[in-house]
Amino acid sequence: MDLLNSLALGFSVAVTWQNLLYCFAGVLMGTLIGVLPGLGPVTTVALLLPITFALDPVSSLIMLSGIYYGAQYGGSTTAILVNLPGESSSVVTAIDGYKMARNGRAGPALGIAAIASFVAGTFATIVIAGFAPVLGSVALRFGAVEYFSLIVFGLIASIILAQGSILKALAMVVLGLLLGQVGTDVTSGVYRYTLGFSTLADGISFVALSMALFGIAEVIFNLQQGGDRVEGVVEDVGSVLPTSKDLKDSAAAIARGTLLGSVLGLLPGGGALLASFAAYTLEKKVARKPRNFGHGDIRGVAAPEAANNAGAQTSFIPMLTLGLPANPVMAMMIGAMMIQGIQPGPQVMTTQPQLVWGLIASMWIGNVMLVLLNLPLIRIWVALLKVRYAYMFPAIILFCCVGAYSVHNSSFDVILMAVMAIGGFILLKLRCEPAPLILGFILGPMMEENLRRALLISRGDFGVFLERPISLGFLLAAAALLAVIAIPGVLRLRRTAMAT
Amino acid sequence: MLRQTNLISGLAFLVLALAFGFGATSYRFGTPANMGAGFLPVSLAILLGLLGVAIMVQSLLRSSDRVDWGRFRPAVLIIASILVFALGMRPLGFAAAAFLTVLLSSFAGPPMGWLQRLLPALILSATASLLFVQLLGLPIPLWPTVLG
Repeated sequence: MDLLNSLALGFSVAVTWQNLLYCFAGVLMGTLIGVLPGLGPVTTVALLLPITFALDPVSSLIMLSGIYYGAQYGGSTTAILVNLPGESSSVVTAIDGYKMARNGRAGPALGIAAIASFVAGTFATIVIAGFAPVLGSVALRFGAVEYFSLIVFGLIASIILAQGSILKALAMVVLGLLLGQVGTDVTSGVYRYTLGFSTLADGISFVALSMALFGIAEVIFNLQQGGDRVEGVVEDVGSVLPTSKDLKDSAAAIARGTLLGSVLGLLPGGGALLASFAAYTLEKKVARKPRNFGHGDIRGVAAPEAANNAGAQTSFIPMLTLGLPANPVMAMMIGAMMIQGIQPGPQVMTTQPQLVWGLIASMWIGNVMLVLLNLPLIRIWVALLKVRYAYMFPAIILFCCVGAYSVHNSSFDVILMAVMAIGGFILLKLRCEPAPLILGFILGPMMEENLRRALLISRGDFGVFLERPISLGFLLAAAALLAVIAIPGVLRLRRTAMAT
Repeated sequence: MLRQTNLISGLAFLVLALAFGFGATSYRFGTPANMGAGFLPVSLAILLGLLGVAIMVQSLLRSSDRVDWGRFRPAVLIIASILVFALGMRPLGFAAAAFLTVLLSSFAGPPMGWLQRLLPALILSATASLLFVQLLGLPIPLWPTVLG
């Protein structure tokens, strides 16, 4: 009964005119930007983050999550129609989706992607509603010791997603932790690494950092590659309604993708990317005629689309209940919460029930809006696909400048963003992924706080992390993950997954 | 060999580690039971340094991709246009600063006619002024301060 009450509370928050409007605006803008070739969900959320600052906390998170799944869906549209996935999570969709579009079945491919996303989104919302309170109440019993080990586990898990060398990804995590040290030390009041700038006493602006890494540095990188117009857009979409045969073919695939995605999204470091790859591989394994895959098999669109939407949504669970971001988008959600004055962590579930449940309810509403919005507006999205990069990137630069400026109304943050963009660009060229860095940056202060308290209680004895069973469990899991990633077979799988 | 991505990134991490490490020497280190402001920074810097060395050693054992820095023109123009925004905001106001930023950054892209640069700059700066200053009410001066 408790769950029903909570859901009722959630819907009462989400179904106000104001929040419905922000949810709609988020979904619309997210799709709009996410459809643009080359702009994935991470960049989209970073670019639109400043728009939400003026709103109250609940509305701003509702809008941000709308932006997130809007962008996710927009990316799939791009993947199907131009074979140009905005982000790695829609890479697999492009394989069979673009083939379908080339065979004149673009409509059904988009339609089944929407249906699969909707089914998965609905299921994932139920999972969140059922699972979040349980995990939240468990997490409330965590002390500083458990929390520190959990953070270590989360950081290690985040490197699964990074491309290339594991050592480099680890180094990026540590660099992120160090950047998180900039600012006033909360216990002693000492200014760390502020280099005499008073603006840095509050630490490096999170918005400036994420815009530098995911906005500016990417623009410079793309401009170097050249390429201005997108080639090979399939413009003839036709009817988006899948035939009854299509539906029958993909029903089981959608169900499997949804389940797999929901589970993988829960893991730190999991989320949409891992989910879509795993779902595609699974479909190929269980299919009777696997040879059709890669030549426009509808199951190859349905399963990964269901999985990435389910995974994107269940990755909210560790964010909401533990304050632990599973991916860069969740790191930005946490950044947004902190800007709104909410300290992320397990207490959010009990102290801010209207926020948590309002957000959960709005996710389902947002998924309904996505389906209603996307299928009729498909012609507009097709037109957007043809926008030249030459007109797009100056707008990105301007948005980043406004975003960085608006947090503290300071030009210093904009200059800081420019400096960090140079660093980010160099790191991109050196094939160091920015995602682990941003997670380290967000979790750094939380990690220090918990480490300090844990060692204070244990009087400086590091053994305490191994004595408490839950903490030991997290550390063992982290060690196991490291070992698993380092095993050659997994390395090969990662490499093939990233190569496509 | 000096152009290998892994060797350079290892070196870069080592340099950053040294910078962060030496920067933290003036903060009190403390003991585990009573961590000072320098405890975590120093520990993390040591960890980063070790990882940097490990990456360099690994790059000697197995060759990695060569780094290609590419053309500098886009990078220089983009960074310059951001600085124009940062420094132009106070004297010029948002509308003019946004216009200049968009105009200057467009030169980082492919060659185009002047009209194709001026028009988007005008439209974008007008839209952004409307959206951020009027609609969202960000406390940003819209016009040059001399006029206000």
